[in-house]
Amino acid sequence: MIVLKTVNLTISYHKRPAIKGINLSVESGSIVGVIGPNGAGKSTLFKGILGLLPADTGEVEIFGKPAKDTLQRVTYIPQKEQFDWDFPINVFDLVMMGRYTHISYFGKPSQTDKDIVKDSLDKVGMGNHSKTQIRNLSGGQQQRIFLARALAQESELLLLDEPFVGVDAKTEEVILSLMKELIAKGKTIIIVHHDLGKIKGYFDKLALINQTLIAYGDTEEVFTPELISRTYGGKLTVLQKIEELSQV
Amino acid sequence: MDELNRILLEPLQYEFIQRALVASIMVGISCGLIGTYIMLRGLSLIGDALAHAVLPGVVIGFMIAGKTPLSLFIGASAAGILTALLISFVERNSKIKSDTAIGIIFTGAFALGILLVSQLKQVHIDLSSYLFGDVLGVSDSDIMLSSVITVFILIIVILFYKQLLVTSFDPTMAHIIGISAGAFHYFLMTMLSMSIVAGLQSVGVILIIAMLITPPATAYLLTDKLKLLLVISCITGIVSSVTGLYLSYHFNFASGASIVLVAVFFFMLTFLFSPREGIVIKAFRRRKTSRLNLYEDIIKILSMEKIPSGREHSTQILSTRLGLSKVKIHSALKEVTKMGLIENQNGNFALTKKGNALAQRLVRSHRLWETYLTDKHVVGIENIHQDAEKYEHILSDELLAEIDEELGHPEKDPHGSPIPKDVP
Repeated sequence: MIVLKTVNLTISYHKRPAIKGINLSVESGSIVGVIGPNGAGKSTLFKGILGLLPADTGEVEIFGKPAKDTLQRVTYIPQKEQFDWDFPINVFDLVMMGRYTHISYFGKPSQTDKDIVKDSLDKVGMGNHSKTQIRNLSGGQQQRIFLARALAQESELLLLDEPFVGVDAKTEEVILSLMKELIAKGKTIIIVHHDLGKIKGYFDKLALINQTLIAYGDTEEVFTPELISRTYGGKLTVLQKIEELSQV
Repeated sequence: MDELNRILLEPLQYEFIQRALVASIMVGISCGLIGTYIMLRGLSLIGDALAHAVLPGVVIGFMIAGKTPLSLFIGASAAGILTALLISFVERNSKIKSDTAIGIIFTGAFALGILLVSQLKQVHIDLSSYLFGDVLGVSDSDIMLSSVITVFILIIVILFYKQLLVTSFDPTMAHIIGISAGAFHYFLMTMLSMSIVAGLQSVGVILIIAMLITPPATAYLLTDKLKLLLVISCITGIVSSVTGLYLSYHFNFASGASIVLVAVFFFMLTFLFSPREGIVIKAFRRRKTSRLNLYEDIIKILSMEKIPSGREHSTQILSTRLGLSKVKIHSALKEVTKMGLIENQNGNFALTKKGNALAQRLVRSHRLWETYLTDKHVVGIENIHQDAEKYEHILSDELLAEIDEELGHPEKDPHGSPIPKDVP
């Protein structure tokens, strides 16, 4: 089943196109890495999919319907820097936000909601921190509670923006094992990622982006020196990195 | 007792003071609640802008419908919303940044208001009481209005708690789950305009922003739980208003200024002495820690050097090693002796049993940490000593046990020195 489909999606910042004519179809049950150099429009693509930025042209369909009708079944985890970590909220209440789509508009969280939040926190290894204020968390823990919120939301499509940046080894492990678990349940995960050293074994499929979609397909087929160098505009450092990788 | 009676109860026999008191309490609550969200969303500037910009709305409201509380309310709210909309409109449709847009729009609106007041003689507005508040001129209908506003805001904050929380903390998620962050922004702006109206009479538009942000900021230094933050900020607001009112009565101060200064006084007090965030408390804590660290360093040096060389020589060595004057070392040694860590033995410093245990623990802590850093490749071996010098004082027993466990109970540190076993 096609979970996400963008048709000719073009988005501009201050009249300069950030992404141009992106046609992307993502099947359910896959982990997709969105790869490209800085400023290639990776985050813009996410914002376009979520309707956070207006599209110049093109359409986005999620679960076969216009995105605005099905957005509630999507989870988005932005980069950690987007948040005010001094905000007066504890871990439990933050993860509870994931349940808001399941609680009636003026309703209070039920016992079930609370249990789900606790479960989600346990799954990311943060069960002991439910009363901790978010300002007291480490970078990895911050990432993990957002993951817990995504779990609590029980959505079918997850968009993660650079989840592996600035996290400890344990968090990376937690994220990877959770992703496998979610995929096994038929969910779909799309991840913006920039570390070319960590591609194989992380993603089933890759979308190579530099304003336009350079290539999309299985990791083995797409993660080639030619395509990567086309995506990165032949930047020397990257090429060297790829060479090193292909020698291993 | 009589004195207290005179200060607290005597004013209450006047009806205008009773009314002023009720109005002040209402301001404390409505501003405390809305102000909390204004502060958390970083909208303090917009709050100030709106407070000024309601003036033309009030004048036009009075022109159309006469000088009634309802026309005041509607005129002010409409002007508030319009200002908020204009600010975002300018911001979105030009490269002008938000603070500049705010500055242009609110001064413009305020100027328009003043112009209207000066030109339209058929509506008389006492500009000075409008600007600076005249808590003693509060009428029954003013009280009615500010009570209705306060109750309304209270209900909204309780009813829309979830929505206000998610739109404040994570507007992106709010958008995804179908809660319009934009709608809530303007909703909040409406309530902000209302709370400005509620505080108009007692504090005045120039100073009302202080009641909107100072009590929440004070509360923010005391707690990091949202519900408690709302409650403390209301209480701080009420106490400031009431205290300010009494001061204004007894000393004949301008009521608005008096209320605001009390609120700022509470803020300064919290800023300096709050148990968690107060800068004086923090400095005090830092000094205490650095003193304890010094004592620990002395114990460690005395234990490692095993100095049998007389008190004078020991003091000299300590002074050189720690880079402190002999006077400082001398007084620290006195303190350490008082703590029962060292004793005088035939004119030499000797560690007591307690002192020895502490020294052992420090060495263990230092060497374990060095081993950990090297093992995990956190820093190169040439840098680990500096780091361990700092952390040997900080690492708790539990953490040390955990590190020891994870490293598989090492016998020696990276430099080859033995790591002392845990002393029970």
